[in-house]
Amino acid sequence: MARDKTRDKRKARRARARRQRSGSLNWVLVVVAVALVATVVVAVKHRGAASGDAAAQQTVKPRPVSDAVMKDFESIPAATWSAVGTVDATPPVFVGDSLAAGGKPVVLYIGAGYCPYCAAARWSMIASLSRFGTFSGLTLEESSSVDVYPSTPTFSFYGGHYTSQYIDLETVELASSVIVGNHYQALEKPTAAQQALLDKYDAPPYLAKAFAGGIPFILVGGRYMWSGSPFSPEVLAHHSQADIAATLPTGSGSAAQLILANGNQFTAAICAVDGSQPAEVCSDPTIRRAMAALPHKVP
Amino acid sequence: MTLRSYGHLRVALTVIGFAIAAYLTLLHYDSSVPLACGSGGVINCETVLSSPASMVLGVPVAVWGLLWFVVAFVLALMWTRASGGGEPPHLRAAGLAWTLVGTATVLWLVYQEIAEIGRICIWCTAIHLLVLALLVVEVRADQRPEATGP
Repeated sequence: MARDKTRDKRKARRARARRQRSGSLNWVLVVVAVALVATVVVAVKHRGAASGDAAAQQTVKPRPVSDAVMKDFESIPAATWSAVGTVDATPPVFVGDSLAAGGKPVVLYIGAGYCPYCAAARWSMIASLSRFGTFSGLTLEESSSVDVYPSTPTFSFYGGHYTSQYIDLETVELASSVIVGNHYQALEKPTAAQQALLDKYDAPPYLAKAFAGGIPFILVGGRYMWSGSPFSPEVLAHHSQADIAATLPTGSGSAAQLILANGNQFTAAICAVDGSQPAEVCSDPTIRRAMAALPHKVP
Repeated sequence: MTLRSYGHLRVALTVIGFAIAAYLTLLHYDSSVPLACGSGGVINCETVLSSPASMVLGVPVAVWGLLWFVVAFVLALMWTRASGGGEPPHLRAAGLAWTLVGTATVLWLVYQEIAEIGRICIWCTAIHLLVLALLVVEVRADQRPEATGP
C-alpha cells in the first residue's frame, strides 16, 4: 500500500512537471510568433525608410576609363574582326517586332554592376558599338565580389554617353556593385516602355521559364534579343580592364576571342536592323555571313 | 499522434529541407543549373540569392542551411530511435536548442529579404516554413504523455 502511494506521488510529480514544461514550451511558440510578426513589421518600415533615402545613398566614385583603353576598343583592325569570326558566339533570339526612336534603331541594354554576366556582355557590346559610334564617360567597374565569378573586370554604362548616326543606345544600370547596408546601391530604373519590353521578351516563349527576367537583357532593333551572358565571365578573371583591352586589337587570347566573336554577332544584328550601315562594317564578309545566319523565326 | 509519428515527421521535414538547401547550394556553384523561380516583381530568387546577405562569413547561406539540416536530420533520427522508450531529456534539449537556432536565423533572413533586399525568394521561404514547422513539431511532441522516460 505504502509503495503504491509513493508510486502515485511520483506519477503526480512527473505529470505536474510535464504540464509545467509543456506550458513553458507553448510560451516559446507564442514568443516566436510575436517575434516573427515584429520582424516583418519592422522590416517593412525599414524598407520604406530605405527607399526614401535611396537618392541620398548615391555614393559611387566613378573611375573614368583611360583614353588608352578606349582607343583599344576603337582601333580593332577589320582584319582582326574577320579573323575571329563568330566562333563560339552566342546567337540572339529573334523576337520579331520592330523598335525605333527618331528613325534610328534602338539598342537597349538592361543590366547591373554587380552582375558578372552583364560584365562579360559589356565587353562585346562596347567593342561592337564602337564600330557604329563613339562612347564617352564610361567608367571602370567590377562585378560583385561576393557573387559567382567575383570581381569580373568590366565597365559601367552609368553616366556614359554614346553618339552614333546609325543607332540609338539606351542603357539601364539597375544597380552598381557597391554594397550599401545589405543591398546593392540602386542606380537607374527602366522607363515604362523599357520595362514592358523586358517583361515581354525576357520570358517564354523567347526563353525557358527558368531564365525569365534574367540580366543582362539586350534588345537590338526590337528584333534580336540576348538574355544572359554571351560568354563565360571566367575568361576575364584575374586581369585588369587595361590588360584585356590591350589584347583586342590583335585578338590574342581566349578573352579577346570571345569578346570579338560575340562583338561580331552584335554587329551582324545591328547591321540587320540599320540598313547595313556603315558599309565598311556591314559589308565585311564575316558580318554578311553572320547576318545570313541570324534567326528569323520566333521560337 | 504518437511520439514515434512526430519523430518520422521530423525526419521527413529535415529531408525536404535538405533537398531544397542542396538545390540552392548547387545554384550558387553551378551557373548552368536552372533557377526555377520568378524573377520579376517582389518574388525574385535571383536578386535574393546574389545579394550580399546570401553570404555569411564568406560561405553561402545555402551551405549553412545544408549543414543545419544535416544536424537536424541526425537529431531527428536519434529521436526516432529513442522515442520507443521516451526521448532522453538531453536529446530533447539539443533538438529544441538547435531548432531555436534555426528559428533565430530564419527571423534574420526574413528581415534581410524584406528590409534590405526588398525581394522574396520562394525557395528560401519554403525552408523558413520548414524550420518553423520543425519548431512546432518539437513543442507538440514534447506535450505527448510518453515524451519523458518511465
